[in-house]
Amino acid sequence: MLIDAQNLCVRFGAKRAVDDVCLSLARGGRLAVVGESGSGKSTLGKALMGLVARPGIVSSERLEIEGRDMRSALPSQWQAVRGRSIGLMMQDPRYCLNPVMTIGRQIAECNAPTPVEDCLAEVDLSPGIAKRYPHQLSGGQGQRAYLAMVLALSPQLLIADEPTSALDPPLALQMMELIEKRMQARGMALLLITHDIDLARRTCPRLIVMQDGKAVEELASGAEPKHPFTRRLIACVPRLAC
Amino acid sequence: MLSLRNLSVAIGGHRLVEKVSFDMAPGESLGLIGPSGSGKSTILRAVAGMIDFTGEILLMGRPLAAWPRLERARLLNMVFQDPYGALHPRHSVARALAEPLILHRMDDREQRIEEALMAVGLPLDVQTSYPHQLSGGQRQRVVIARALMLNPRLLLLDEPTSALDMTVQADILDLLEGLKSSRGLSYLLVAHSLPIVTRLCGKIVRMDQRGEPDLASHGLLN
Ligand SMILES: Nc1ncnc2c1ncn2[C@@H]1O[C@H](COP(=O)(O)OP(=O)(O)OP(=O)(O)O)[C@@H](O)[C@H]1O
Ligand SMILES: Nc1ncnc2c1ncn2[C@@H]1O[C@H](COP(=O)(O)OP(=O)(O)OP(=O)(O)O)[C@@H](O)[C@H]1O
Ligand SMILES: [Mg+2]
Ligand SMILES: [Mg+2]
Repeated sequence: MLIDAQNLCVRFGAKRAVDDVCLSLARGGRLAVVGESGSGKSTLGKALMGLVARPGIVSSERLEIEGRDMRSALPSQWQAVRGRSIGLMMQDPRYCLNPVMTIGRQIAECNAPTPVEDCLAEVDLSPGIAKRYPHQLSGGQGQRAYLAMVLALSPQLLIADEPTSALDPPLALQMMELIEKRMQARGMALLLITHDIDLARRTCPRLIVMQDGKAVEELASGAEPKHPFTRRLIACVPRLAC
Repeated sequence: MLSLRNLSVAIGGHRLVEKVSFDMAPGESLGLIGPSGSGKSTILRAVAGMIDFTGEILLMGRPLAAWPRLERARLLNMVFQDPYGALHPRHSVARALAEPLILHRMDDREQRIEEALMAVGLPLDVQTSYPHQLSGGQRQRVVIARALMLNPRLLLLDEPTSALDMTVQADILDLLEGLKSSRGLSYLLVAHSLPIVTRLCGKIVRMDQRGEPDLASHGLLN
């Protein structure tokens, strides 16, 4: 197992942002986490990376990453996991880029086997972007630059939190295809966090549906949802289109 | 309400936007669409008076620069593309929402803040939270609430719902649509989802890769 989390909880004071969630993912596997705003999706992703900051409290019956017990891991042990074992694409990517370093240098510092220009070309950015600073990029360019950086580290698992929210549909599709290609070429696993249930179903064979911190349903992508909330999520798609 | 005449923006030798013109009547809304990097956010920043430009931007028939800052800020407000950057990390939600009211010396602050929070579907107790304690969608709703605080006539919206899940997206769209009819609000909206644009806007301008408007797209919806 690449990741095995049992009864994972994250508390902020009295609030249980993640409440007793179980999930496991094998090498090369894919799983989507969907749910409404504030249901705990991003917090779950951060907990799997050891990124929940105080006063948040993480507890679990089991939390293993590549077979190692991470429940009382030291910061240095988490540091070793981040980047190469697990890459996290955060929800606000531009905020995660270093504002005082050019994009080219940030990618170069990941020591990818491929040249910076190729990393940029993969995410459909021109070589000129390498000389720019994050504030000189558009929203979609920032999101793609960040994806390039995360992929440059060749992680075993990519946790992608709304990876295409700033992109128009054709570009979003192209980025998902790139992620797909990495999964096939290097056996990268994917934990896709998204509010887009359509995207989740197209990309991953299994979904976890979260509501108010709890995983209310885990189902196969093709299966009929049983939980009323999952049905509501699906029903909202055509409502937007009208 | 708003007219652009040959708006161009260049920064450090890069041409970001080339000769964009359009008109919006009061109560009318316009959608800006186009590929990533085509200059959509740049146009909004120019209209918000945040960057230099050449050409003309007329707000209610008057050049942008001729408006006193505060008066303009009341008339027009902006919701940015990345909500995290738009909120001060060390200011609570209550403070973020009170700020425009204090600046414009408005009374009934508590009531106005509560109304705005309810309008965007946030519980009143988020007031004590800080941005990092909110989910992505909650932050975005705070930003929208803040933009509504001064009852603007024109709202510049940059991907206002892309960080939100479908159920909330639908709610926010209902909200924006309701405000349009109840307050006669106009939107200049950037969105990559065409259904959202067509629902809120009667006009569309499509930008192309070079930052030029694609003239063939003018009046796409009319
Ligand atoms: N540092 C924190 N302190 C207190 N509460 C927090 C903190 N971080 C998150 N929360 C709360 O935990 C809940 C879950 O947040 P999370 O960001 O995981 O939601 P999400 O499912 O990713 O939502 P979205 O789709 O809007 O991004 C929210 O109610 C949020 O307010
Ligand atoms: N400060 C700057 N200096 C140089 N170039 C910039 C600067 N800000 C933006 N740009 C460039 O201007 C172009 C237009 O950017 P803008 O943010 O307006 O695009 P956009 O249409 O909003 O794209 P997206 O859909 O990805 O958000 C992009 O190519 C961007 O890299
Ligand atoms: Mg989130
Ligand atoms: Mg933009």
